[in-house]
Amino acid sequence: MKTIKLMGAAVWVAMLLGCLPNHAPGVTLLQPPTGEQTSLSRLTVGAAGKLHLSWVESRDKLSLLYHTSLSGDRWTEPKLINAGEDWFVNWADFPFLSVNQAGMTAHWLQKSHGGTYAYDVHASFYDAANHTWGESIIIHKDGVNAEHGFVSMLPMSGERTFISWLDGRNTGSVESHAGGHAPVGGMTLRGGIFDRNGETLNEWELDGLVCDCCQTSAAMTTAGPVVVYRDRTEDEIRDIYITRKVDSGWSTPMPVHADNWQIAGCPVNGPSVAANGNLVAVGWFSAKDDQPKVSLTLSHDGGETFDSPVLVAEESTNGRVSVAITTSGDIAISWLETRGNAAKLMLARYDQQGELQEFVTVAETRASRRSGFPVIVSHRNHVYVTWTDVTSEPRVRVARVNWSF
Amino acid sequence: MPGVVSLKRIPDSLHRQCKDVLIEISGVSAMKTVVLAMALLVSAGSLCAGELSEDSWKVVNYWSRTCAPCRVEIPELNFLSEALAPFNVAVVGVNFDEDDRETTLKIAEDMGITFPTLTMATVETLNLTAPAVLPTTYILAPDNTVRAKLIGAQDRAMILAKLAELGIGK
Repeated sequence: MKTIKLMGAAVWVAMLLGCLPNHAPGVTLLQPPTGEQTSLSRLTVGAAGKLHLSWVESRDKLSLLYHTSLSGDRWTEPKLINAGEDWFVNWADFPFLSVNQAGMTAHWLQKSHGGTYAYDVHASFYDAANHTWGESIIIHKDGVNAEHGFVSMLPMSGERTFISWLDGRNTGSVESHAGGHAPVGGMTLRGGIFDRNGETLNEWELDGLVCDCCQTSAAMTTAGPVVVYRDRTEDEIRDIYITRKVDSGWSTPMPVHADNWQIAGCPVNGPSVAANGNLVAVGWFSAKDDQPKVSLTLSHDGGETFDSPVLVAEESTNGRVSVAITTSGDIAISWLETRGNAAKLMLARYDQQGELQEFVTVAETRASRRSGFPVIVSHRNHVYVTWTDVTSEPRVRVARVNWSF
Repeated sequence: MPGVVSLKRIPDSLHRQCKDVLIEISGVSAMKTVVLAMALLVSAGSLCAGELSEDSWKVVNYWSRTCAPCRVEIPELNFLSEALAPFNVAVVGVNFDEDDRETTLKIAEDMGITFPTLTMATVETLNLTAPAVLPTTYILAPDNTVRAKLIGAQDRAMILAKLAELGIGK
C-alpha cells in the first residue's frame, strides 16, 4: 500500500518539478480525424481484430455520432452513424460501438416524448451488404417513460450483439410525485441478445435493484458474457457486482469484493471489466468513509471467484476507471489522478498475480466532468487510450502506449 | 409582532438568466424594512450575477439530472433557500454535469430548482472539490472554508441540524 501511495505522490512531485513531459516516453499521441467540439469517445476492438473509435460531435443543438477505424497507421475517413437534436447527451452515459465479423451496432440516448427524465436507448445496426446503417430501434420494449442508459455491448458469433443497460421501467413516473419526485421502484439491470437486424433474440432482467447512475461493463469469457455494475442493496450498500451467463440463464449476482460502501447517492463512477479466456479483471472506484480509491481484482475461473483486490490508487483520485487485458495476458488499468482541478490520466500494468509492473502518465487533463471517462483497449501489443482534451475547446484524443509486453 | 419575511420567485418572463427572488416584508418598522430589503436584494442580485456575497454562509448542493436522489431533495433545498435567507445563509446549486449555462438553467427549471445555480467560474472561486457521490451538499463559512460535507439525499431537518451544530441561525 505504501508503494502505491508513493507512486501517486511521485507522479505529482515529478510534475511539479517539471520532470515529466505532457506525454511520457512510450506514449505516442495519435491524430484521429476528430475536430473541435468532439467528446464522448470510445475505443473498441472488433471481432476481426481491428481498432475502432467512436465519438460525438456537437454543433449547436445537433449531436452527431461518428466512427472511424485504424488501418495501419492511418485512420479511415469518419463515417456518420446517426445524428439528432433530441439526444440525451451526458458526459458519463455515452454511445457504445460494437463491431463483429461483418456488422456493427451503435447506440445513443434519445429523449422520450412526455418525460423530463425519460430517455430511451436507440441502437442502429450496420448493414454490411449495403454499407448503410439501419433505422434505429429502441432496444427495450417496456414503453415506459423513464431513464434507460449506461449501455455496454459485446460482439457475439453469428452476427449477434449482446447489450446490457440500466432500465428505469420500475422507477415509475418520477414527475407524478408532486414535490417529492421520489421514484417508486428501483433501477434495474437488463441484458439482451440481438441479431444483425436488431431483433431481440433473448432478454433478461439481470438484477432488480442497482445503482441509478453508474456505467455497466461487459466482457466475454470462455463460458460467455459477464456483466459488472454497481449494485444497490435495500440498505444502500453500493458495491461492485458481477453476473455471468450460465446454461440456465444468469448466475446470482455476487460482489467482486465487499467494500461495504454505504451511500444513499450516486457515485457516477462505474466499474470496468475485461476478459481473456477465464481471466477476468475488474477495476473500480469507491470512496467509503469519504476516502477515494481505485481497486483491481482478478478472477482465474471466468468470474466465479475473485482474488483479494489490489489497491491501485488512493487519496488523490476521482476514479473513471478502464481496464484491458493485453495480448501477453497482463492487465492494464487507467484512472484519473487528481489535484484540485488538474488531473493526470494514469495507466498501469499488472501481471496476473496482481503485481505492479509499470505505470505511466498518459496525459495531463482536467478533473472536470467535461474530460469524460477515458477508455482503454489492448490492440496488437499496445494499449490505446482515448479521452477528451478540454484545455481549450473539447477535442477527442487518442494515444498509444508502447509497452514492451 | 416580529417581522414577517417571505420570498417569492420573480416570474421567468421577468428574469430568464437566473432564479431570483422578490421580497415581501410586513410587520417590520419602516427603517428595518428598508435595511433588510436592501440587504436581501443585494444578496439576491449577487447570486443572480453568478456571484456570492462575501459575508454569507453557503449551502452548496451538487446535483445532476441523472441523479434520482438529487431530485428527491430539491423541494427541501427550495424550502431552505427561502427560509434561510434572513439568516444570511445562501442556498445555491452546482450542476455536477457541467453542461453549458443555457442547458444548465433549462435543466434546473425542469427539475423545479428555485435556488440559484452557480456558474462554473463562481464554483472555481469556492475551491471546492467535486464530490465523489451525488447528491453532496457542502456548508461553507463566509471565508469559503468547508464546515460540513453532507453525502446523500438530505432533508430540511438534517441540514438545519447541521447548521445549528455550526452555530448558524441561533
